[in-house]
Amino acid sequence: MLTGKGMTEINKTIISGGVIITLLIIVAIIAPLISPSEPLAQNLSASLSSPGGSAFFGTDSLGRDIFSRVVYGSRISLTVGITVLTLTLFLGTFLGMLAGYFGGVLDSVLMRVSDVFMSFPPLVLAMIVMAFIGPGIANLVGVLVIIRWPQFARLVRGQVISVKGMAYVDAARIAGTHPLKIVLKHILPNCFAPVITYGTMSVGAIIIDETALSFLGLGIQPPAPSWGVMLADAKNYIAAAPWLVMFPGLAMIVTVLGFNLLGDGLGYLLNPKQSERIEVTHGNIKG
Amino acid sequence: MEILRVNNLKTYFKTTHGTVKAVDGVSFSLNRGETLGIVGESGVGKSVTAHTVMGLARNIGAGIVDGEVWYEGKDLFADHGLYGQVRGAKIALIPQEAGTALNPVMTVGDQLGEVLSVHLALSGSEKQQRIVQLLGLVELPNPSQTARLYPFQLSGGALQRVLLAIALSCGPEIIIADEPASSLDTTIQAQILGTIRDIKRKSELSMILIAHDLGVISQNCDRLLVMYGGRVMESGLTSEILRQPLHPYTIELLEIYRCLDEGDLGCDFNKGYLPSSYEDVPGCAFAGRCRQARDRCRTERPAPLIINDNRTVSCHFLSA
Amino acid sequence: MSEHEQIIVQDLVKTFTVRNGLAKMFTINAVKGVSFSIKPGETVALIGESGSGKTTVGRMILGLLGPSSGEVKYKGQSVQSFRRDKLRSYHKAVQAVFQDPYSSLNSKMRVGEIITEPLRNFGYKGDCGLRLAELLQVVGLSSDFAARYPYQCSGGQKQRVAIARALAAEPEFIVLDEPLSSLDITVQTQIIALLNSLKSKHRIGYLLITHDLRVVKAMADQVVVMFRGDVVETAGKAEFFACPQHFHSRALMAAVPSIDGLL
Repeated sequence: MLTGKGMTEINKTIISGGVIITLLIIVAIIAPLISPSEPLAQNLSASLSSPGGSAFFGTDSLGRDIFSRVVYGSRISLTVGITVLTLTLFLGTFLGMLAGYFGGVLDSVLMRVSDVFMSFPPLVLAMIVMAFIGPGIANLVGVLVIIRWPQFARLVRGQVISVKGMAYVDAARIAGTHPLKIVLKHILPNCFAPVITYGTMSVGAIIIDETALSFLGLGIQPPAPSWGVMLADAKNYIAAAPWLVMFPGLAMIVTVLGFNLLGDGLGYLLNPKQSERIEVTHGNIKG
Repeated sequence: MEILRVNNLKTYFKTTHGTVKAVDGVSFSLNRGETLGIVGESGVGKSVTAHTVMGLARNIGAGIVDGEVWYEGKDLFADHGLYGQVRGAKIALIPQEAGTALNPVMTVGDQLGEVLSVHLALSGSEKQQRIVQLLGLVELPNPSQTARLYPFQLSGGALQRVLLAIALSCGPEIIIADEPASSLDTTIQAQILGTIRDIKRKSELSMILIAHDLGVISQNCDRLLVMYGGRVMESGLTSEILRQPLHPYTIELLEIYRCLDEGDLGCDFNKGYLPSSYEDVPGCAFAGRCRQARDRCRTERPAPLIINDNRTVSCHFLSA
Repeated sequence: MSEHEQIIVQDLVKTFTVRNGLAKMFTINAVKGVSFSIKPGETVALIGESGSGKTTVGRMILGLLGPSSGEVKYKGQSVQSFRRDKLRSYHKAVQAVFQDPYSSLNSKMRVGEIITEPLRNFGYKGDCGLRLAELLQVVGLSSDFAARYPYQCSGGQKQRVAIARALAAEPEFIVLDEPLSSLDITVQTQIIALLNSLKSKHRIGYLLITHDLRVVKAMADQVVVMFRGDVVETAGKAEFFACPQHFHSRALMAAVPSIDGLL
């Protein structure tokens, strides 16, 4: 139960985040409908034209319409972001669950392995792996999962460990519940709240990672209109044609902001201790 | 001699389901050197009353706060700025949850030192001395060593004593103890209450003791307020109230204790419940549960009936 | 009464080793050799303060924890040797109500599901819905509680749910681990009355683990006092309250804040 004041603020955060993301998804879906031109269509005679006329955001060095490329780029960012999140969520949750529930040697081994992965600066690790396996969207997704799974695994492991000690788990054991069912029915559902929050906020970071790798030429390859690729193109023309940087940059900012707001709001909603609220039990205020 | 007077205190919380009137018109006074008990089940508003008197109602999320708190001739509610000097220095609170009231990453000595720094101007060594002195006053063994420990290294009873030391640190006139030791073992609770009684006797402290256990109240309090549903049902001298309770709620509570004490399970235990705090109770707060409730009780809120110098009861049944 | 009907605790010992820093290990002798028995239809109160080892004994009796040595015998067999099926039948007969109502119910499950979980696990042949309605009535909760979530129930109501869950599979014994300590006195009396009536109606044996002597007086038949891992006194309730022998028992009794003290 939340006090009146607390609830509106949380609502505001969730709604603003939700609105941004919904708009983004809509834009990504209807990209062909709202783009004035093909994202890959070159028009050298109109190269580097400033925003105006039919090209709202201007054109790049090859005359491609920036607006269309930004819009199509949202598809790439969202796809990568959500796919990586889903895979990392599954992998991290599974491993974290194993480590937390069984403890002992399995736990130590998994934690040491995750330590190794976490000890590399994420982008450096990504670069090294990509250098070996080559670029491409599938490889990119794989690499991004590799650099992110340890955080999820640790988060889930921590939750599992604290939930494991709860009286209702003991009660389930005494009620004769099979261990697997205990994990699925009693432990997992009570671990989700922080995972959902953290996951939502991670999407922003994943998109930034993808952008960085694409910028370095290791992720999405040109001429695909990933925002990272667009930024890579733009770096030679920053002074002459600032719109090349501005619009993909803005798109990224808005996207990451949207996911962070949503994650923030969800965090307050799902985690009672964080929000300002009075513990109201059975309609009574304690004390 | 009256040292604190509280008039018509109101603390309301706005929630998504309606307004919760946690404290709904509470008045009382505290005399110098006495211990006033506030007793009632959990949820009746005792803790919120304590926080409100301390000027902390907004900190726990209250929407509306009203009333008067008269101390040293001034109404603290009229000028909240006064609380800065009063809180901690003149009126101190021992909060309910000993475990969470202390900062886990600071040593006990440092936390005491922090409180001292706010209100007193002491040199470094004077402060250290005072810290050790205070920890000794609350009967903690090896005070100078204990000062260097962190909260997690101390037992529940020791933590409670530290909170007591913090409350006493600036030499207050009034201490409000919110369910001290109620989460601890009975023997530890008895010891801590004994320490509090000793300190109080030696220093002429005045105290408001909040508890849900009538036994604790009877052993420690001179006067007593019985609260229910955010309102005061009965008040007066502890000995008088316990010997001859007048309000149906007080009668019911005492009956329960007697039954348990004598192991008499033939007692008729009412299906006691606290009204949902979202219901606005126009009449007597206890009407829903009272065996003697009549129509008037449900519609009209009883005014406190003054029986003698010390005794008031809020009940229609009596004045009839 | 034959030994077969009772739960017999024999020389139970539990030692924990705790690592302090890299190399230092120290041992905690939580339970140092405890023996007593629980008969059906009888309440044995296991009294002690925190640190006395009483909760650990309770957990060993429930099979949640294995002893370092000694055994718990049920129907002549050692509970420690039970696996899978035997453990399941043991739990059908021996249930528990835990101390903290807030953490003993899974907040993601509805009350109805919580109560019927043991039924489904133990292969109850009858109609779960009917049994649920029966149980709710027995513990004094209205039928609409089945659809509620724990957060919609008060502390006392949560404990009633926990009791209903413990009763679901018709156990012979229930371990009550401080079942009343987080409840108000008025609610306590209601739960005590409920537990006592169930005990006599269904001939259930209770192990009441508590430090509150008032509750012991209201519920117990036999009293076992523990102090720092050892049993220091065993007595019938009446003799215990009339004349406690051990100094710790007397300290416990003196610490109870009684109202008559002042008058």
